[in-house]
Amino acid sequence: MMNPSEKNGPKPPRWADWLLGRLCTPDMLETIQGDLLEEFHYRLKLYGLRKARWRYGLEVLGFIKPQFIRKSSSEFSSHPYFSFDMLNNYFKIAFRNLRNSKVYSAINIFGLALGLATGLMIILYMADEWRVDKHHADSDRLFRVCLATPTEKWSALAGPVASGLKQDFPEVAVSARILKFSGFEEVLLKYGEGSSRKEFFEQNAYYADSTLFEVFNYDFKFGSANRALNLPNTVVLSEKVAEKMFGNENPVGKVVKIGLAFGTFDYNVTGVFRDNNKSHINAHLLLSMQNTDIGGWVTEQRNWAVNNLFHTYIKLLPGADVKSFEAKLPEFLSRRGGNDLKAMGISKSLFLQPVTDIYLKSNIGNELSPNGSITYLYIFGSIGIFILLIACINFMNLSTARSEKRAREVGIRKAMGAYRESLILQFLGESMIMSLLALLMALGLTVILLPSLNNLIGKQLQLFNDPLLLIWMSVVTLLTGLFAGLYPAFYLSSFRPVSVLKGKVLRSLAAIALRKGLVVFQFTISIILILGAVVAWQQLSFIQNQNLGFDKGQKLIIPLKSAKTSANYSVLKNELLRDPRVVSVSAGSVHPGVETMEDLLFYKENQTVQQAIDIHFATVETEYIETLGFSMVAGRPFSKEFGGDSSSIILNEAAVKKLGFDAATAIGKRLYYEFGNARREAQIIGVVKDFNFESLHTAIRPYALTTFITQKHQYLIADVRQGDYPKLISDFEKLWKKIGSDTPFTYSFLDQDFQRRYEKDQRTANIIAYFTFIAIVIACLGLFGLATFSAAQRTREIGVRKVLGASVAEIAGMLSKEFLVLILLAILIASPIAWFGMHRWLQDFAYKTEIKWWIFALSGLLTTVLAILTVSWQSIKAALMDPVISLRSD
Amino acid sequence: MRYIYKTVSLAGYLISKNRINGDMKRNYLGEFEEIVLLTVAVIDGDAYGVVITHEIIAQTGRDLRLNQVHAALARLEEKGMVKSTMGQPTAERGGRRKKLFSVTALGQRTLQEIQQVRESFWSRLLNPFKLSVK
Repeated sequence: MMNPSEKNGPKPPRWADWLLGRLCTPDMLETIQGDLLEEFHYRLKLYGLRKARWRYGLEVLGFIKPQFIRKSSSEFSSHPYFSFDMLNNYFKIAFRNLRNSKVYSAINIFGLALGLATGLMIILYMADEWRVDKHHADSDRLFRVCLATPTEKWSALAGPVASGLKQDFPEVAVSARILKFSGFEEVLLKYGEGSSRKEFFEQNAYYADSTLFEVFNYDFKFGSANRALNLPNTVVLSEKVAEKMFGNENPVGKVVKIGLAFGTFDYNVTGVFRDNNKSHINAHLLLSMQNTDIGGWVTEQRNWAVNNLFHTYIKLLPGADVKSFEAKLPEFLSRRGGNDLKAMGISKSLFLQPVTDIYLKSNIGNELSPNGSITYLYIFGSIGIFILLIACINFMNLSTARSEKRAREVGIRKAMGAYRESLILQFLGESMIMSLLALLMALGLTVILLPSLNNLIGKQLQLFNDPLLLIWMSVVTLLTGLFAGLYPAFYLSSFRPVSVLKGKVLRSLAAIALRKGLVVFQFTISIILILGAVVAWQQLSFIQNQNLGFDKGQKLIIPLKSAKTSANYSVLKNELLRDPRVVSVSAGSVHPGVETMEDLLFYKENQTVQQAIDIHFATVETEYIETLGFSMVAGRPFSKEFGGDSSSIILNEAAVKKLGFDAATAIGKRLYYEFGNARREAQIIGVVKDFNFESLHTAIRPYALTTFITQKHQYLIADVRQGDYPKLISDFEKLWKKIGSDTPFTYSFLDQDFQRRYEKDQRTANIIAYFTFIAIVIACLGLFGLATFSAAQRTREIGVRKVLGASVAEIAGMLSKEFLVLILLAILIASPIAWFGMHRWLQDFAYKTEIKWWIFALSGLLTTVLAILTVSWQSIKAALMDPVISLRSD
Repeated sequence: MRYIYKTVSLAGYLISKNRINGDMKRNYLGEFEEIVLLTVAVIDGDAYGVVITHEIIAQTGRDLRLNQVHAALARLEEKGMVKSTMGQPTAERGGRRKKLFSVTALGQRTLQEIQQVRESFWSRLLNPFKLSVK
């Protein structure tokens, strides 16, 4: 009999066969193909090839129906992922797991919550820092023009530069200046009469050009930015100052009295701006510049080389090329200011800073107020990420460790026909639920901890300020949950039901290695943080105990802020000296701990201004050196007996060296300087030992003390005996009122003023210490969980060992050892990384502590002790267990 | 050990749930399904796709395609009206086996019930139709 399916016999269309083979479910394919073929031959005989083929194709198309089409490889028709019963079951099992292993759950959720709360607070902090100056319209076109000399960078310019830029460059849309009169940015505000009279000092009062509000956006609560500072003697207040003075009233049109160094002046309030947008300018009051007080001096500023006190801002036209504009600045400066610069013997250049970068990236001379730091932002950000990572790792470690307990569940589920995907989904879901619980807890923690954080960093962060931030945080949380659940989910679902149900212990080497690796990683980070914190503390105490070159203890500083109080200096001094608690009294234009703004170019005999060197100076009263305890290397201090030393000068060692003298030969030499368009002369009468006038961030600069160049009665400095300070202060205040001072009494102590210079470092060190603490807590939580697990796993082994005569100490040691090895490894990895990082950080300081070897030993020891304490609790508990009980469970 | 107990009870629960769902399935036949079922009963023993199709075409004169019959057979099998066994391969099927259908007890009972219902209606018909009305 001929076989119809032979090669050369008539055949059905090939495409139809192919289609059927692809689409049809395998279990039905055989019958269907057989029936089709039989029908094909039947029709072939009856109607011929063409019709039979046609019919065959039609039939195949007819078989494309849901019933016949190939489904997923499984033989079951419905997917149980989302069936209500299974979901219900997942939740039930998840809940029972949480309940049955309270320690694990608590460690998991609390650890993650702690990590998330830390991350949340760090994000809040970073976002707050990041937002500064980002709110201005056209912020990409706003620049500050700054100054560079061969030795330093300076954020302010000479008076005429701003208008010169506007006149000479068509691409400059508008320019504006801010004048911070150093030492006078604190002003006395007075308003009202009689009982409603308000009088207080206010910080950060700056003069501003009327164009300032064309450059920057200020959100006005009262009045309008437009023409706010156009008229002389007008003032714009910040919301806080306005509230302090006027309550919720609209103050526009009211007249306040502002006490400045040159007297008290009437100012007309033209506006109040809100404090919500942060700017590096950070002004509390903005005074118009063309005033009866300072206006005359400002208009006189025609010299392009001196009085670099004006912070100059420009807004470029849209589309202006910043690079080519900046390239034209040298030519501009030499054309307009070349003569002035040459006359002063100064070489300098201009450069641009984007306004949006100033707060985070600029830290040059004469900043309006201390800026933030992008480096610290990065440090905090990475610490936050690491802490979150440690918390995630805990979660993963504990979940995989615990997986053995759930291996049987996985086995049963698989045996009952669970898909791998549904198992993955189940475990991922569980870890998501855990992470959401952790998020809720983290939000609670943040609400509780935020006030103390605000206190610590001096900010007003709010959790529910920014919905976008919360959304982001939820996303981060879910990702954390996903990330943390990923490994357990895939690991657990890969168990083979047969081996699991046989009771074979699942201890894959890879899983154990990974778990151990993660522990090492966690502790590496913790140890790096410990080392960082230790070095930071060391550096700070090094700085604070450093010999500054003078005595900062028991020095009371009283600012003399008005013309009248300055004039009253001698009266006050004589009254004070009558008090037996006062050792000596002096005064000066600045005091240590305050930035010295004044400098002049000094040159030697037979030299010209071109060879001069830059020396900062303070103008002081006699007894300044004795009161502050400077030590003289050569010569003598100022003295009344020498006619007030009206042209004498005292230099520090750095200045003497820079001038090319040595201490002994310098005495009696003459120095020359140009001031007020005239050449003047000074005679060196003494040399003081180098001292740190500002802070140990900066190296010692050439410095001079004079008695005559500027106003010397700015700060009264009194050396007092140790004793009852509150009584002393109140007595001084009575005296202050008695002599008829027209400003409120304020005071500070020199050591505290100095301390303030290190506030930011102190704050950073504190924050790092807190973070370190959190990281260690989380890491130890994880270690505790793992130790618990490990002890539980070896219950029977411990029982057998005890029966065979092992002692408690031996067993506890055995259990602790496996973790200690990991900690030691972490110490080895962390030490060089920490050394490198801290070495870089220390480069910011002119005076830096050494990183000594014992720091590493100490941190290593600390971590090891912590780890031993954590692990031994469980180890000893396990070792103490009665073998009868532990062996009975089998 | 507690754990296994719980999971097993879960499995039992799922199985019982499935059985209830099976019992709840509808127990009536469509017109075409009834014809296919009858055909399977008539051929008795050697009923498979092609034969059934040809038989129905011969008896009713409808234009019928294999896939329609296969779909009906699959539905009937799902309802438990027919059961199938695999038969011998033949050459003209390209060496593929037949799927042979036979009526189950449920199928027989259902056919009888349908017949009874129809008969009771017919018997109540007082005036049987004349073949040529008007």
